[in-house]
Amino acid sequence: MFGHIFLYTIKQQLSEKSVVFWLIVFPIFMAVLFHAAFSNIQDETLETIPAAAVVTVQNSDFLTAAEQSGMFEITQTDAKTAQNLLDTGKVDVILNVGEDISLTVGTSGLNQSVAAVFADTYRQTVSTLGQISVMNPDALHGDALKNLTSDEELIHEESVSVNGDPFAVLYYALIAMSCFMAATISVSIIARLQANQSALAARINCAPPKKLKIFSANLLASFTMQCIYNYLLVLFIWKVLGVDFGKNLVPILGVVTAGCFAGITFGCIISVLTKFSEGMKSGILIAFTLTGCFFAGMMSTDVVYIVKTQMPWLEKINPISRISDSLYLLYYYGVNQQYYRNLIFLVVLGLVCILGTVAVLRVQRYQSVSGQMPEEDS
Amino acid sequence: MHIFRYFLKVFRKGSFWIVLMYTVIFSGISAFFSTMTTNPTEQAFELEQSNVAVIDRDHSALSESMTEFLYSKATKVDIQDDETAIKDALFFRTADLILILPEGMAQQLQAGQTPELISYQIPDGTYGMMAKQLAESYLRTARAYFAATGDFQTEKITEDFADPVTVQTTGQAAENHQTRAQVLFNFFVYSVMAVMLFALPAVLISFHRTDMRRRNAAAPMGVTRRNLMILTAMLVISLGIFMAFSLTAFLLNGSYLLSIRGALYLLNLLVLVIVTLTISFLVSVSTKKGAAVSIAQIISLGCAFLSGSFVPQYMLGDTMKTIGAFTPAFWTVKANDEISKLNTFTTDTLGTYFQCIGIQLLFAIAFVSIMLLLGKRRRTEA
Repeated sequence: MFGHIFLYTIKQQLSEKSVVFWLIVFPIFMAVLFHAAFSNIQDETLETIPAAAVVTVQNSDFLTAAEQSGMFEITQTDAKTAQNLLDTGKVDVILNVGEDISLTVGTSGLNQSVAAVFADTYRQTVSTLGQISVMNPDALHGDALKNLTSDEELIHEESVSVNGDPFAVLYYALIAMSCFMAATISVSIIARLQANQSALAARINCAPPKKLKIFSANLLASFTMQCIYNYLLVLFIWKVLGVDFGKNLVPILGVVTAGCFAGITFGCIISVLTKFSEGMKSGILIAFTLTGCFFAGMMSTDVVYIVKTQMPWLEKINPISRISDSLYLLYYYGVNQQYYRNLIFLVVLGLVCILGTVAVLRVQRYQSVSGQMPEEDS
Repeated sequence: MHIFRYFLKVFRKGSFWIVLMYTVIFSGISAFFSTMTTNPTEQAFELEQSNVAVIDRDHSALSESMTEFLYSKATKVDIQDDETAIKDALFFRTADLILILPEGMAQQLQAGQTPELISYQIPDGTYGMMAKQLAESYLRTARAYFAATGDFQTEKITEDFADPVTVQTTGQAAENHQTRAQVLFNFFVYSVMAVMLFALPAVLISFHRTDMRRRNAAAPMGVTRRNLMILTAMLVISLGIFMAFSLTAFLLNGSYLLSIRGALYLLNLLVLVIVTLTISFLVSVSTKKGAAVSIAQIISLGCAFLSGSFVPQYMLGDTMKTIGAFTPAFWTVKANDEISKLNTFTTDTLGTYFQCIGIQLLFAIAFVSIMLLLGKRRRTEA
């Protein structure tokens, strides 16, 4: 009997188009949109800045410094041509080199800022030399000048193990959302066991198999389907869209499985404890899931960092954050203690929810459901 | 007026509270994203600032002065002095440069040694390089002063950096600088479409049920009059949604929107509302009730991602932009971006803006034409 219910639950879920849409088509659609929107975004990297130089003095040290820095691709020209080059976007900045130095830019921007910082640094060096020449003129022939103009790298750049892509977090939060979308399936599982929810539930309550057995078969079938959907989603994001998940597949599937378990059982406990209609219960669970996703970073990666640093308690109590955080940890740090803590949290949450659901279901009895039955959709 | 009232009744019973909830949630999210940016106060050069975190383990006068200097030239980021915090800050791009000033730094410099300053930064990142350049410049200057005078002369260093080079601007705001109003109105593209496509097709579909169509066909009221009432009811709901989002915009931007710029943003939003209204009609005649919510989600999210509502258009790839150009939302976002760039509002400068408005209206006409075609087929089925 258990196997029979298990198989028919799977068949029934596969035949429901809306279930298939929300549990697998929608997350894949979202992943494709994420990929389309964010794959083109890269960190700003240093490139040579096209610049025009309008020089009105001879032997300019500033121009020499700019040329030697390798930061600029300089075209020396007159003021009118320089302005034309700027207006047509062929250069980002005009270096006005006369008695004083000034810059002309078309717009504010990164290249323009780099040029401004370079010019400021040059002016500051000149100012420092002026100050030293007043304070101790002899020092300009010694270490002071050498220290000021040396190319020695004073700050050692330490590399981090993985140059992580922050947009990967969006996909992790999406997977977490997909795991918790299973909660909406639980609403119908529970509705089929509560005789006052539908005619089908009333019939099932009269059937010989024990409620616990029907619940277990339904839950296991839904959990199985949810795991399969999410494994497919992970594989699609990983292999088709090329998002990095780290090296180990097993821990990834482990956290996805735990996430599905927590999601589906969380839906059960909420459904069994509340007395709203099926639609309202689904609405509450979707609102919970989407809010959790927001704090897990599905809408902005900045939110994850704010939560991590300023509201760590929120990350600890949000099961959706726990799933996406585990995927982040696996990608950026590998398997570590925090990963196991997240895994244990999800499994314990799932077990608490399942025990609570069973406890409530066991005591629910119906003397009569006449007059309470909601209208069936025609 | 009977049908008008009935339409509003169905809406009130079926969708009103959810629409209200969605409007509040989306307004909140829009506000969250838009408050990360500001509206420009004047047309001047704005130096792009790096996000810098300095971990001072030396606590000397020099290290404290250097920290203060860097924070005056960059945006300060607070992070804890541990490896996980450093790595997290780099991963989430919260900090472009994390600089560690080691213990004994000042003493080592005084002894003529080179202290081991460590920086963590995004490889080849321009912002990080810019901040690192400033830090190195500060250190070199401090060493030079010490060599010349036997003191780091931190006050003199501050004076040396206090006189920046003059930068004149000739053009408009940078393409990659987004104003608060622009971010807000771009995010509204998704919000408005999501709310309207959730609310309206669901009510309209109930009018398209076969039994309802047959009853209406037998009723004394003419088709034109009935459709006019439905349209009026939909316009009332749409205008309500438009007003709610406009109110949010005014609350967040204040007097900045009490200008021609504000009027242009609002006109663009109103045009989007009209286009979305026509999409709602189209969805209602081409789908069944169960599928309407799914289709609404796909259309609103698809348009938002393809148009640059979530990610600025200048960051989208060329293929994305080409595909996006086939959605009306793309032109709404383009018009918003255009408004934010303008300083003067003349027929010449507003050419692109009105072109975007025109394209959106053409989309609306196209949707109405398809809807009429599908509607006619449905009527004959009844």
